Amino acid sequence: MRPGSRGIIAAMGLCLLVLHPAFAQSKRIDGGAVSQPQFGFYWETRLQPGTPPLDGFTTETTQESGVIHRLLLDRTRRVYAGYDLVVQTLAEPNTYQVTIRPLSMNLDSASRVLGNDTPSWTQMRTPGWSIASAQTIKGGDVLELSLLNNRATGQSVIDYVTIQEPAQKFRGFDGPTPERKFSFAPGPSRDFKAEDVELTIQSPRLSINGKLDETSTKHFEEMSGAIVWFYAAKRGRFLLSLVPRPELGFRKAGEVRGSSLSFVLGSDTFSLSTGHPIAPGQAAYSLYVRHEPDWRMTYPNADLSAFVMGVLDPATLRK
Amino acid sequence: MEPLDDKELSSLLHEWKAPGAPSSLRRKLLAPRQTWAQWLTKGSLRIPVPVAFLAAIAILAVWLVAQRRPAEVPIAQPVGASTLADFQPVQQLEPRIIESSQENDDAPRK
Repeated sequence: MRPGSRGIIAAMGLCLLVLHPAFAQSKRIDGGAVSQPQFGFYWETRLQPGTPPLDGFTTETTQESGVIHRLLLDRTRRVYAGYDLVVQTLAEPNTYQVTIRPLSMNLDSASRVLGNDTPSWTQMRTPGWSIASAQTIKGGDVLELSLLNNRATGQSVIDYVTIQEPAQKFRGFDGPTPERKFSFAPGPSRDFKAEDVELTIQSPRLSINGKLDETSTKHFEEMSGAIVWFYAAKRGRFLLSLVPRPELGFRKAGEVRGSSLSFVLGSDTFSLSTGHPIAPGQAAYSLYVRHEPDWRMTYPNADLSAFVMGVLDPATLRK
Repeated sequence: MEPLDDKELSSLLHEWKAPGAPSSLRRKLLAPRQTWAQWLTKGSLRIPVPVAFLAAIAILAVWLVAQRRPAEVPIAQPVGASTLADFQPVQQLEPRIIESSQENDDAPRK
């Protein structure tokens, strides 16, 4: 095969991939909120389209003296980019003025996000990441900020931000309000499909053959996705799905009942007791599992004896 | 010489004196007992050959297992993942309101 024709075939493959609805869909990378007394600043970072995925990419948000710092980080390659955002509450109810300007962090703030070896990081040059005039928005409006482009894949990293009431309020004896979360799905709407169903695993406690894995008791995070996985020491990785996915090597192995799930592989019974309903709806559901016994974390200093959890996009999974 | 009868033999036995113990045996029997410290530096163990053979095999096996490095298992990398370095920042940041909470808002919608 001539070298030129190989490039053409690769480009055609990429085009077909991007045209497929599953791949054209944007993918949430990160999201969160920082609150000030009068308002909460919420953001969600998305990759559009979601495939191929971004490796080693995270975001952080900090605030100091009324300035919100948004950072996009590649912790593996120690590269970062970011912008500052200043929000002012205006006299008109539910109205705010948003100013975006170049990132400016003092050493303290930088070391809080980047760690003690801040000088080893490289800041991406972003001369155009500021707007000359402040923008007035209403509470609940969603602002789209297209930040990065990949010319080779046609992908963009986009921040969706909004100003709403603080993420959590204190109600005296009633305690704090439930935490407010923000998410925004761009693009045209479509009918709901079974493949859209996501599992939610929050504060999981793993038991294997009735014996609690103590390392799982240190986890209080929440993972949601079409495929949620967990790693257990000496057992490898277990990928969980509510949808059969036989083409990806999943097989029916257990069930989901409210906030707990269990499955049997060989002579071992695995149970996860979590702090949140795992599946939407009220019924008990079948659970499909793919076991990868040889899978290990390979990043430096990985603790192979500890429970770890993550989310996978089915489109990125090989059989 | 005529054979001796029992009586004669008995009297002869009473007259016989056993020879003294050799000096080398005296040294061995009456040597002072070793302390633990001396035993640890100068002592010896008598081990049956089969036990010594099995112990040697066990030590060799433990050494081989310890020397074996865990097999490198490739991490399940996402298919064709890209990195932040593959992206370029936009020339100009153009924030736009894509979802408005106001009913009669003129802001563009996606």
